[in-house]
Amino acid sequence: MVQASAGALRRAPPLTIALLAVVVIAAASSLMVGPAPIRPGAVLAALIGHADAVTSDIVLQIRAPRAILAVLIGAMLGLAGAALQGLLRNPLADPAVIGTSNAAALGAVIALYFGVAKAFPLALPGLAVAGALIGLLALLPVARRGEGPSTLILAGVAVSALAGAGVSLALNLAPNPFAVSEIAFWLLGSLTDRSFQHVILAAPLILVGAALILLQARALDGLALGEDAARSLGFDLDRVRLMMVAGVAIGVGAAVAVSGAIGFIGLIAPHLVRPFTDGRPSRALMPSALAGAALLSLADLMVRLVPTSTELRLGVVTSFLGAPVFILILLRARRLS
Amino acid sequence: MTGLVVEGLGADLGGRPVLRDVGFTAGAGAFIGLIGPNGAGKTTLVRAICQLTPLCAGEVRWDGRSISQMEARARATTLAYLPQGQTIHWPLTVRRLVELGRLPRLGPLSRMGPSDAAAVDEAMAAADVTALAERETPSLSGGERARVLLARALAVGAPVLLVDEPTASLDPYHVLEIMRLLRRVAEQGGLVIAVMHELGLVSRFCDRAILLSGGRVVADGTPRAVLSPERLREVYRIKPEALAGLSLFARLGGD
Repeated sequence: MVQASAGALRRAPPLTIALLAVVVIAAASSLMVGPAPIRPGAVLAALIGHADAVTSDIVLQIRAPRAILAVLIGAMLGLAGAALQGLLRNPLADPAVIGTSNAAALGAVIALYFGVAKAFPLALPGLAVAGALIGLLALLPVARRGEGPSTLILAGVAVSALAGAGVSLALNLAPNPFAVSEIAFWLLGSLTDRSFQHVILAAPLILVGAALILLQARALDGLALGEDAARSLGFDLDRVRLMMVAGVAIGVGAAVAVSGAIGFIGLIAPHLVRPFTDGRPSRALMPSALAGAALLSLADLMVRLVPTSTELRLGVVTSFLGAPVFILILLRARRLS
Repeated sequence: MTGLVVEGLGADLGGRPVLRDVGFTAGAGAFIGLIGPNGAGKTTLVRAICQLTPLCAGEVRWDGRSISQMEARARATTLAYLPQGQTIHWPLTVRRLVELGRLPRLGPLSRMGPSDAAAVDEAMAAADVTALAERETPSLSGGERARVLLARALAVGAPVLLVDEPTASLDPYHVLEIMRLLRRVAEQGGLVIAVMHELGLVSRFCDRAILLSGGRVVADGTPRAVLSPERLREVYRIKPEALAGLSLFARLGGD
């Protein structure tokens, strides 16, 4: 029964359309929701330049960059999760779970609080990408030994904890007296008060990272049969790994540089869409990106809608969603192996 | 020289010599059993032919062209390789899995064409898995899985098929089924090289056996000639009578 119904749904285009609709609705709602609710008509007026100055500023300068970043960063995290799961053949892989996001946050913190980013503005995304790259490269030897999913995840937990501690330490040592209060931003993530400058900083790198991943999509299908079979099908796995790792590092590094480390989106998105695809890892990439965009946009709506004295951190919401999913996948993987 | 030429092949694994001066030639239409005790270098030889293991000496050629000089895709469409084991990392339908064999023939952005679909149909028919097309891989039995993975290797449409222990962990019925299938591939003009442990099967189905020991070819010829009692004693350290007792197929192989 379950298989039959999954078979009936097994076509990507309707899935893509449905996910796109959710992304558009969530992004549009994001323009309306906030401390000052704005009605749809007024949002539309602001978008075409016919609203009063205050409404127009709120919609275009405050909420639009936030909505765009939620879509871009969510898409990148979803895509990175699907790519890592395919590359490492591990259903638990996710940039946050395996420590890539925290490593990127450490790079960003070093750039921001020790004056590097002041001297060279590109040092912020640059060091975040470098951090992500180091975090990923540290895991590759473990991943390649192929000792089962849990070894990689444990190594990732170590990278994550180490980089997280590094973030706290760097902020404690930072000359800026306000730095310490920012720990939560970097380790839990937030899209509050982001501007178009942040969009300009992150968007090009996210697009480059996504392109690097998507160009190697076919190799992920070959890897479904293991490394030897993939290589015998003509894939240069060293090159595939290099491009994929670079793509994830560049995209996730740029995302973390403007939003901090946001957990679990890359874990949940592929598992949400996979039952509706034909199972090939390459076919999960684009839907995972869309699902990631939808999830992060919805999570960012939720932090604004839940009445708390200070705004909830994004990572709090995504962790509440993601941790149970993580445990479910872990239990299922146990049963299968 | 047409066909497959393996010349002076040497390979090391972790600093230990695993293959030394291995050479043989083989033409289309042959079914070769690659045999030898554990650690003889059988798997390494097959992987070395496919360039999956770095060579420290020697060369492999197909129809006069060096395999190592070939572009990756040309190599992948010349040699189809079915590794040991039955790992399938993601649940896929059988048809999607068999289609993976067409990957070397697709450009990065191109889709499967009618010729690819025809090759997949043909491979599925040859491995007798057409009826399983819409089944999901986790629901397959061991025997079905083995045939489906073989269909994937056949879908490549390569003139040479290298398989590593294709009958491992299968029951007698499915073992015979796989062996007949490989035999048929050879009869239809393919060159099949199979790493085998079951010597009775080699003498029954293969038209040639290559015996490896200590990383060298110690015998190469018809299975009957290669599997002489003296050699079994020397290389496998067993008495031929013991083999008959061990193997379900040894007596069947006598016909």
